[in-house]
Amino acid sequence: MHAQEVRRLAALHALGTLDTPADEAFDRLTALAAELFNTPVALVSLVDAERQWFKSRHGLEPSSTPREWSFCAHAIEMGTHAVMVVEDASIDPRFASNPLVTGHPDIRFYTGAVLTTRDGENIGTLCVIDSKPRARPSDAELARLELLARIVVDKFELVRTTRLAREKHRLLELAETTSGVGNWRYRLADGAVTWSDEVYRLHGVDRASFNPGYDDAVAFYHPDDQATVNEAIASAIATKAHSEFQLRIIRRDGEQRDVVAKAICELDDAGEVLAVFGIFQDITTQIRTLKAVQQSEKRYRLLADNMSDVITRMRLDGGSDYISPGIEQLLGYQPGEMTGRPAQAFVHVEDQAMIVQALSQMAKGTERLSLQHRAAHKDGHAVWVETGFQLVRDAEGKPVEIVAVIRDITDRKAMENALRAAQAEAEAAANVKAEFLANMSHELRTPLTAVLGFARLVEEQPELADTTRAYLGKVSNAGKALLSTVNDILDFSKLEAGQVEVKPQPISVGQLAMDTLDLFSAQTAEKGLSLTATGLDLLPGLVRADPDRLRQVLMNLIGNAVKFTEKGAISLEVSFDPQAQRLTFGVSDSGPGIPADRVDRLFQRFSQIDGGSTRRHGGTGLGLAICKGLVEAMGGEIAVESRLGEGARFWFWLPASALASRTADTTPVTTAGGLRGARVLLADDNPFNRELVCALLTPFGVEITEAADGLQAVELASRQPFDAILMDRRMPRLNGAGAARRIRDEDGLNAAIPIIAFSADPGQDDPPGLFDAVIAKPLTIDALVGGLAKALAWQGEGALDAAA
Amino acid sequence: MLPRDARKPRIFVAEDDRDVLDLILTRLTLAGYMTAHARDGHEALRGIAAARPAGIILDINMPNLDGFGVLERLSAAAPAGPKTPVMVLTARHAPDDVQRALSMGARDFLTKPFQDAQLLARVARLIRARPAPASGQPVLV
Repeated sequence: MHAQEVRRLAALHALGTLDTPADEAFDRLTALAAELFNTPVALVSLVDAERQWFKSRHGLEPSSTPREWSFCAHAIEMGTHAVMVVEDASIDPRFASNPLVTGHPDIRFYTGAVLTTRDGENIGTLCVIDSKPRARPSDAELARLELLARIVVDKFELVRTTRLAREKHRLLELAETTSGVGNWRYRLADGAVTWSDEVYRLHGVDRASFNPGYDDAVAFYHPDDQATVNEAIASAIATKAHSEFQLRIIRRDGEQRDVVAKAICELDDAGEVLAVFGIFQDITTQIRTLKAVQQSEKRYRLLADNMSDVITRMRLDGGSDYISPGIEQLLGYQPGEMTGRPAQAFVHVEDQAMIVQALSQMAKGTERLSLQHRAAHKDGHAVWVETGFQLVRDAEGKPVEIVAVIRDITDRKAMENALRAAQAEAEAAANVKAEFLANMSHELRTPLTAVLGFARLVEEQPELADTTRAYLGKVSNAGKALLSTVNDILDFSKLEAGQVEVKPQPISVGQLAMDTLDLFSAQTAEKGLSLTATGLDLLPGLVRADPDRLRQVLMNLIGNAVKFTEKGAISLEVSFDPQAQRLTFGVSDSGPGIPADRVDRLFQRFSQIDGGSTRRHGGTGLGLAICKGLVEAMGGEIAVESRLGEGARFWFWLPASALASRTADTTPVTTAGGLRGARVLLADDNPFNRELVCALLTPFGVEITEAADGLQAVELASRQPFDAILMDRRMPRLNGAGAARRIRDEDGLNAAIPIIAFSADPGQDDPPGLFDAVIAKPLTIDALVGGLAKALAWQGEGALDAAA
Repeated sequence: MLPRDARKPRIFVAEDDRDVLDLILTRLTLAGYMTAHARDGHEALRGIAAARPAGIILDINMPNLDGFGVLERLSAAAPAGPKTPVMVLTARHAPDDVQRALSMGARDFLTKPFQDAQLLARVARLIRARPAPASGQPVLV
């Protein structure tokens, strides 16, 4: 589209009149034009892109026609304020075939004055039309039509200005409502007061029911503030300057609000005051917020000023801007003495470097740090404090200052020291206790050794009377009971000190279980209890476990069961889980059971079910605590399940690796007596051979220590006494003969004990005086047990018959 | 009672508790040993020098001079020469004492309370002579 046409259409649309309802002002103008020219039709026609639309039409029905039929479209091409005259359209080549000429309304005569806006755009015409040809009107008539056209344009402009003013007003109202700022005006001439809607709203009244006068307006103010309002207005008028006041009003609903009003004088051309106008704003919320902030700041200040912790604000270089008054209490300085000076000046000389480093770290962006250090009191002494530094950043995130909270931790330090001292004291006390127990052990065992030993001596006398033998048996049993109590106490103190040493070795669990049960057979027979073991035949021949510890736990549990069960049965079940390589033992009884609320305490020291039980059944109350300690030391767990009146079952498991599938019961029992308790060192590089020897000897109660080669055997023999050494001839690092030679020659603990060689080649010559015996491989039970028993009979030069 | 035999070796027992001392001496005598004894460390050192025993049973806890003191002086008296084998008597809960005594030259230990067979086996072990180089081929079992 042509640029000029674009501008023209923009101007037309800007008028905002297209398709608006009819307007009497325009209709009067068209009626006047028709009257002046004595035509049946007069129109105000606006030429749009596609059509001509009639803002006013006198004597014509359609409200618009297509633009290509339009006469006016031709007229507006003629220039600004032009007037186009067509005397007879039927003979005018431009219009002869125009449907408006050939058909209704049969136009013949047309005269249109162009409507030209102030900006020079031709937007349409004011035209008169007749269906009969007519002569050209006179120039005076045409000038009149042009004048009317100008009036039409003026009217358009007026309508548009009114509309714009109305829009602006609405916008203002919207702004007032949104911002809470209203406007007012007080005209001096007649004292009229006008309020904007917002001012009404702020006073809590509405325009319909309230019409403010000056006095009415002033009356809204708080009684104490009304004089101030009058003075402010009067002073504004007197000085012709503006004035501002912030006061309280009382709204119609009774609520007091804080408001601010600004007044400006409106002057006439002569400089006299016509009116005072201004804005009016409710600032209650802002005032409240401000007061809250002030209050909050006051509170924090109060807090900082009265807190025992010291708060200080420092610049990044460490100089302080603020120090709370608590500093006087802490370091003896007035806050004023310290502000501006570097923080490290008030730190103990040995801790200054730490503080300087901390501050430089903070300045580099570390968010927070906490340090314990000594501060320097004004009088010179050190004060232990804990300082928490916190970095403060500005809105852009740049570090601006450091806030530090300094807390006196003198008491805490003192408490820490006291605790440390108490701990040291407790440790010392524990040592004293351990020493006391060791001494007590000696003091108790020595007489017990005599009691038990002499009782044995007397028992060996053949000529004792039965009663004497019975009394002696009681002495002996009492002695043993006392010994076991002493052992309990010592075991427990050892467990507590973590000094229990677990020594796993190949053992026959079945044998151990049977031996342990045997110890109780007399007691259970006396009480008429049945005592049985199950699962023993399913156990592997040998497992690796500590026999002494295991026996101790079993004796405790079975002993308890026997002690507390008056009738019924006690059973021991043992099982081995080859998958998990663990042994599980259960000791069940038909005793009184344990109340549920006591079960948890059962394994604690000194706990029996009740004090009465201790008196009735005796015991130290340490047994189960010792069991728990021992089982845990062996890497297992112990637990109990019981119900009152339904007996109890104590069970525990411990890790144990199976060594052989042989069971112990195939071992011959000949000559076995001399082997119990014998300490034997077994040196063989082949683990299967060692396992076999263990399997064969352990059931006889032989304690075996294993060495994997000759060097290890020599090393072990130098450290602990053995009763015999079993030595394979062929071993890596140091062979059997070499190891035996060194053990003999080093004149150590085991220089004189029997050393027995294993050999696949027994015919081989050994140096004399090295081995006491040679056992041929492959090993047989008889050869091994017989050979060892013979060696341990201490035959040879200087030895005695131990069996004597 | 077995008859005394002058050829049986002599065992020296140093033990301060009179009852335990009597017990050990009785057991050893019954087994055919000759005995000598002392009830404190100093007395023991003098007695050992006079009696020339084949073996010594030495209690660790003794008045005046304890077992460690005795061990120390015995090894000082014969720094390189033949040593009389010593077995120490200890309370059960003193493994450190055992290690210390062994490192100071004791050959064996026995924990109180002990059983008769144990005492006699350990004493026999204590005084066992090393197999002599001339004693010929080992026994083939």
